[in-house]
Amino acid sequence: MEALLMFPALFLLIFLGFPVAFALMSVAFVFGYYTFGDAAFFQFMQKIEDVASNFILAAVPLFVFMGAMLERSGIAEKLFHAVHLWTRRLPGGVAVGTVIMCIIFAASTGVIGATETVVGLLAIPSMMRLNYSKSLISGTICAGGSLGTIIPPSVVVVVLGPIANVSIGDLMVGMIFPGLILSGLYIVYIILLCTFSPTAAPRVDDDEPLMPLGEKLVVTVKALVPPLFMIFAVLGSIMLGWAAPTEAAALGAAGAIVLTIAYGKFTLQTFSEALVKTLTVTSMIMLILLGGSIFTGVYAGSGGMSIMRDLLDAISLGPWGLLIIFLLLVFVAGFFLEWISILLIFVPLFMPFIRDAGFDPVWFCMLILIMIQTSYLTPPMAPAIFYLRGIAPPEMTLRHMYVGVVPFLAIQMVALLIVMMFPETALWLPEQVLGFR
Amino acid sequence: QEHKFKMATAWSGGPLTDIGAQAFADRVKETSGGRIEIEVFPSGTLGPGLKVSETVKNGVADMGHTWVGYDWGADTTAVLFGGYAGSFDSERMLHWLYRAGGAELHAQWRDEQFGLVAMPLFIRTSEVFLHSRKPVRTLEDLQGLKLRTAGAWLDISQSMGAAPVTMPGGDVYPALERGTIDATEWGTLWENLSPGFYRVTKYVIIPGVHQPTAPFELVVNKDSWAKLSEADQKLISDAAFYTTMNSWLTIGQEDAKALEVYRQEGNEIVELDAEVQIAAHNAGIAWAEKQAEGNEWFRKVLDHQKAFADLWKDANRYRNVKTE
Amino acid sequence: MKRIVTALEKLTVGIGYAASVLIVPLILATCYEVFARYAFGSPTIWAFELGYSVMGVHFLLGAALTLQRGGHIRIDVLYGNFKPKTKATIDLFFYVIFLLPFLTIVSYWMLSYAFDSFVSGERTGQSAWNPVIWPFRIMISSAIALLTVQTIAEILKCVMTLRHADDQAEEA
Ligand code: NA
Ligand code: NA
Repeated sequence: MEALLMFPALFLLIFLGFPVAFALMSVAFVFGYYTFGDAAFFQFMQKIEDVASNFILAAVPLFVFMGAMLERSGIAEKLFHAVHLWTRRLPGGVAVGTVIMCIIFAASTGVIGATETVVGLLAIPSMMRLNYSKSLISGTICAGGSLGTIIPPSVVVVVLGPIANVSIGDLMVGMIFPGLILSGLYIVYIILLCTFSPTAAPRVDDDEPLMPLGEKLVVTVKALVPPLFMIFAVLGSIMLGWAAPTEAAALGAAGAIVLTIAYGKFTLQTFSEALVKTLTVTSMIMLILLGGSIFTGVYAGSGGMSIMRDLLDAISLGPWGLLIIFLLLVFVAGFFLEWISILLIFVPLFMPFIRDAGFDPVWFCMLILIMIQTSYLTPPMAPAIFYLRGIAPPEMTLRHMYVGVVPFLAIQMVALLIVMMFPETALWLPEQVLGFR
Repeated sequence: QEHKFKMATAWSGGPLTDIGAQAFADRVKETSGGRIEIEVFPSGTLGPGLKVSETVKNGVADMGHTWVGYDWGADTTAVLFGGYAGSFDSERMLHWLYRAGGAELHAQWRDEQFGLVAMPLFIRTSEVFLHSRKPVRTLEDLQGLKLRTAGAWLDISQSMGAAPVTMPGGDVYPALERGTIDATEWGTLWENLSPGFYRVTKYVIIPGVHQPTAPFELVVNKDSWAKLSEADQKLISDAAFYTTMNSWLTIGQEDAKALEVYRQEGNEIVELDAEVQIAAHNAGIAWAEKQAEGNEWFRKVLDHQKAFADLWKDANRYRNVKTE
Repeated sequence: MKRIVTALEKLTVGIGYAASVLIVPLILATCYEVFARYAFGSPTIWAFELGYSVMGVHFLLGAALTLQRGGHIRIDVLYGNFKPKTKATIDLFFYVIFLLPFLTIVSYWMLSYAFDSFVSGERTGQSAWNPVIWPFRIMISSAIALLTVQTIAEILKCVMTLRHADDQAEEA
């Protein structure tokens, strides 16, 4: 029964502000020593070695590095201009262009920070100049910038796969449609909003001369080549069967270096900046994973899993009831916790029930991934808003940001419902890419 | 006296849990009238799946269910107890273990080298050689074949010209489905149904020359073992024997049914040429002879197994009636 | 005290920067594996084990630098609004009571674990390469020792913050 006390103890430490990774380890340390005595330290050592020798997790530093390099490569600027050649005449054109830009960029990196800061720095000044409503600007940047998770490749998937015991390759391919549905809904919303409420995004006085179509195409193709190259290196190599997911991440990392060199942006300075950034971000993620693994070991060893199982069995909600409860838990947790903790704490608990209920684990992981999207936007723990605060001009207030993300949260719920009601959105594509017949 | 034990396993479900670890726990509970309860933990919760013996030795778990071969990094002798390309078949393995002193040797080795109590628990019949994207019949077909495997077969298959790859378990399915690898071995026909390799590879290559048999084991922490009365220790050993024999019977029957499933799913069943089967066996023996140099335990067990094989050399003549 | 902190952090930063370069062999080895498999039809026997070892050593060695940079995520819903003195008190308490003993014991045990595997000549058993495991374990225990060192530096920094705050209070 002591196992049940581990969670309150953990939350106490976390909410007092002790780093999440260390809070997990500390609680495991105390409870583990109490339950197992010295044997606890053997367990800790085994867990450390286990996490440190998990080849699949090598994709984490590789994707992080890819993002860190691309941030510094200068491909974003060219892409931004090219996209806007096509979207500027639409209602809310710059915002629409920003989301498209986010989709392309998200498809070439695996982390959310990289996408949001790069896109934000380009798009915010240009939308401010056109007098877009500040809530629309914030919402667009926050929601678009965090697409990196749901558009493959994604570090979140690399972490989620092993926890849920689901193939990372299946997840990477399966999330393509849910990711596009979600981002497509963002675009539809922006266009509708700006059509019916033009004050949100005043129309451009079109005094700029129109660029001839041929020239427009040349600019676009030139700008699209590098991101397409990245998308091919990672997703293409997985789908063509050239590389397993971790290997694909390495190809992407190499590709990012090549691109940076090709754009003349490669210096020892930027390279070493990217290396150190990669190291600290990776360590942060991996240490939480390690802490989580140690915590779970002690929790399971003191009988926590079976207590929880009995508890959930006793509620007897039926499979759909459980599913809804699970997703709600993730949503609520998303207000206070970041994604790794959410995955670590909840997914191991959910998966046995999901499998027993006969739900497809890949599909369920998609629903979790969409829910993780909300966690970026829901305050107080809202990474997307943190990144935005780092780059926003002073006249954009926190209030604008909080108000701005609400409609996008609603859209995420719509996307969740769509994927929930039509599992094929997640399951059809992997089926097509695979098979011997 | 009542006991509550924690059992670490290397499995996250499937037959190894259902008719192995969990069936054993259930049997113990039943025959002890509920006095002895064993909670079975999936792979990775108490400790890493490949390090169950260590988890048990250190007292994080009281007992564990694992494949002996996982410990070949600590001592290659593990391969002889876990089965490898040079092994005899499951029927002989059972006889070697239970009637020719193999189990005693195993227990002695685990005790001396690892400080653990050990006994057989669960046994596999011959595995599927490969679920493969390409048909493999001859030695030629094996050349450069990208097959995923683990353990001693990595070494042995490479010596036969294959290109073996190590890959984390979770990567195998997508790698196979997209052709990153050509083929994989896994478990027996029945056990391979649930990972679904047959959905992404056309050919089922038999028989499992890399693994003609695979005995699994129960390891028990010495302190936990000492807490049991002699009668209870006997109860545990009996339950392990009962579970092992049951697993053998169940797998035999389920494998036969599974082959039909593969046929219905459109798989083609390909049998390796006799030449390949013999070559794999010989490569296994050659590998073993090399390992025995400078490893006393390996030498001892290998000689013991060779003496047994020699005693049984005419068994096919007096046991098998030719019917086709 | 400040000089001790500076010295300790020099170690952390130096090793951290060196560790950050490990991503390069990880990329090279893994890309080479893909290349070798397709170009030569013969996968390497070492890329898999080299890959995970480098990955593990990379993030573990980086843990100290990340701590020094304040890179380990905190949920700052409440923490963010605390005064520096309160923050230092909380950190000091948790570092001393939980983290320092935990890391000290684990790095010591890890070292003896590494030593045992050196004596027994234990191998990884994960691939045909099958290298001895002790160098990897030595690296793990050193990385945790480095994190211990940086934790001591953080503790000293907390003490300095508290003292500084006291001095200011007295002056006022
Ligand atoms: Na992405
Ligand atoms: Na949130």
